[in-house]
Amino acid sequence: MLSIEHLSKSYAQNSVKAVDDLSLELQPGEIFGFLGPNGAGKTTTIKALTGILPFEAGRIRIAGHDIVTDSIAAKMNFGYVSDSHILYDKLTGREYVDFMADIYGVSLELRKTRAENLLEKFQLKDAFDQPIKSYSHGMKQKINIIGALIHNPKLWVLDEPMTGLDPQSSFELKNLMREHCKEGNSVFFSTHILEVAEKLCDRVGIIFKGKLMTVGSLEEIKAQAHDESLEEIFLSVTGGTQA
Amino acid sequence: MKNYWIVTRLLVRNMLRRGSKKDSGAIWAAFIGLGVLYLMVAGMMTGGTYMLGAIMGQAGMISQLITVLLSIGCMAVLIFGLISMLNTVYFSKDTEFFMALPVKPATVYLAKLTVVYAAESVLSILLLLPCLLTAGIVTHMGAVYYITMLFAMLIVPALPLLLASIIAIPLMYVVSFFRNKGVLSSIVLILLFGLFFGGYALLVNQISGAADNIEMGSAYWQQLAQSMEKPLVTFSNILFPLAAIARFATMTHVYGLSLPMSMLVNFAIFIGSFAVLIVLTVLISNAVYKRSAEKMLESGKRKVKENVAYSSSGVIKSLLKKEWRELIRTPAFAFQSLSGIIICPIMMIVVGFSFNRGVTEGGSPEEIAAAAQLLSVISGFMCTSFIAMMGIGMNIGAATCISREGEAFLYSKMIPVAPRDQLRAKSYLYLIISAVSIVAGLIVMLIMGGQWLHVLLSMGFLALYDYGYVHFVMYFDLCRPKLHWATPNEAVKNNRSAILPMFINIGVTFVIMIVSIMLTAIIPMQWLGSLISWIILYGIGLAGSMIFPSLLYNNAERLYAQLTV
Repeated sequence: MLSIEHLSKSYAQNSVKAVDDLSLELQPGEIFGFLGPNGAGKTTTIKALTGILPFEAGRIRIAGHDIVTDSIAAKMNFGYVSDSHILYDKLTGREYVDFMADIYGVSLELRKTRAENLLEKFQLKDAFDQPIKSYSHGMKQKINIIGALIHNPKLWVLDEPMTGLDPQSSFELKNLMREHCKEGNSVFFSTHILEVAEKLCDRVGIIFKGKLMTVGSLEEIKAQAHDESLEEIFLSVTGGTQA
Repeated sequence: MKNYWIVTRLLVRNMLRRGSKKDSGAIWAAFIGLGVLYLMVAGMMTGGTYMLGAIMGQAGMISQLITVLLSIGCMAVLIFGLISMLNTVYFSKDTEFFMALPVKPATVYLAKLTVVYAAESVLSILLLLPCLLTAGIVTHMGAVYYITMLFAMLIVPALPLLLASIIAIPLMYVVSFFRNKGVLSSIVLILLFGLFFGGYALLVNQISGAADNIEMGSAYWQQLAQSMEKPLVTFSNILFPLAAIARFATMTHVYGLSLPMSMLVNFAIFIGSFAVLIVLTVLISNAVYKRSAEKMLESGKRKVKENVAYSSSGVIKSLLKKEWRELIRTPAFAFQSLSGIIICPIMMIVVGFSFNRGVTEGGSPEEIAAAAQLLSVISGFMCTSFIAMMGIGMNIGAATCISREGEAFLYSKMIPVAPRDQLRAKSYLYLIISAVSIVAGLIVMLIMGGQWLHVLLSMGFLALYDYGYVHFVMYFDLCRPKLHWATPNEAVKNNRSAILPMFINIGVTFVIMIVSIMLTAIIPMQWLGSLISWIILYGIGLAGSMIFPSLLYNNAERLYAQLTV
């Protein structure tokens, strides 16, 4: 579903290495948690794989399409929830979802079914025809998610998705991720919340200073680290206090 | 093509929607105010075109006149459209959003350009309509002229915009390699603006200068035509597509061809130039826009400077530094706030040149000396008013000092610094900026032959007026700031806090100019006229400098408390 091969990305004429020779493979039906401290390279990796940022070395393929040479086809296969809000906040929720559906060529019938299902789950029906600027932080995040899922993408990419969500919505989002994967799709998300990663992910990767330090299922990682908790492993990999 | 319409529709919708639910009374009042101001400006433009049309019509230079008028529309779009274009295309926060969508970057680029065109063509049409109508009436044009001009008015704004977009692509690409993109873009923009404005002023001066030494008499129009022909032909050659549509509209023969053939050739030149610019824009945007935009997204990810020391400041100084850095590192903010520093001296040069020709004939030496003295006083008051209008009034930074904070205003409410101290820090910065404009203007005024006493008195008045004006616009913005915006353009350009005080200042300085000139010219004792004028000016300055700061600081706590993000 997602294949990253030897990805390297630097800034300032190669003087700042943000991502260093990162390779990763995501299988259909898999939830992948991308962990790392602030400034480790999580967002840069996500921006590279979504085609937002260029990179000097490596190859990224989404559903078999290269993000550089076949970018439109690659982009048709993922939905992206960024860590920032929707900018077109003078539109109503419905207008925004319609725009996203138009861009991805989703039929009227399908967009109605999908949007209403998601609106129900997120309890956003009443606000759907209100301007987005009147939404709370969490509501903006929810409409962002609906927009990203309106074309039922094979790969769902989320950057810090739990930020600002209430416990109910957070629970719904985790359920949505699971449901999305059950249909044979994949989820790739970055997070700081280790408990979420621990409970939700099939596999996790920990990135530090641009390098993917460890990757695998929780059991595999714990076995390598002699059954330490994920928090202990995280701290030891990223140079925290825990040995 | 389908995606182009989808993206354009999204951008237009978002642009046209009102930011907040304001009461309709305030909106109507703003519309009426703007309408009245527009009518005033349109009246002046109509008068100017009528006089120019009469002279050039007599001289048989109608197509050159139309070229000049169309070029004014182009110039306005180039100056104002360039900023909108850069903000919408390169410095907009939505670049990242579109990059992740399955839409070609060139499609997004063209959609954004269309939106800028739609917004800027309104300005161009408002500017051109009264001028072209007057020119048509005064030169007795037929139906072809009016139909062509309707069509030309729609296409003319696109020409400079396409040209600017082509120039901007490599410019932004180069800028993206520098650490402080915002600072560099700001400097380049201000210099470009100064270059265009200065060049235009010089051209106008050259054209009007050519009319010197012409004696009124039977051969007046022929002499005038001869003296103006060279600069106008050069001007028309530079703006060839505009000259072509002007010749088409006025049914002028070219290259010894028949009338239908001449019209066909002229129309083909105009449309061809437009088509070439579109093709070039599409090709260049396809090739490099994506890379330029990607480079712009990398802002902030730079190698950390070594040996950077901590620096400690007092609260007010620290707030002032933060305000300055935010301003200078955002091109739209910097351009709008600092352009007065460039425009002010240029205006002084234009007024200086116009009046320095002086009076050389027309009576006895005593009469000539008296007339020259009167002219010098009048030009002095004009210069003082222009400095107040441009140097002080174009300080948009002060007028949007709260709006520009946007949602970050939250922090201004959180920090343990009294609102009046925060406002004081802001006011210092904007007083410094307008002081630089004032000093630059006064220095040029002196160089251009201004009188020492007048310059000194102007300095005192302008200092008082500036102190009052800066606090007035800050108070105006604090009463109802625009805190919700997505692009810097929305914060500074499409903001009532920026527009209304600027118009009010234009009105006040216009009245100051007329009253002082009238008093000096009407009262037989010139010194008395000048004295009364200065008393009025200082009265206005003193009143403003006392009322508005106290209004701002006394209400600061209450107004800060009322604002929510």
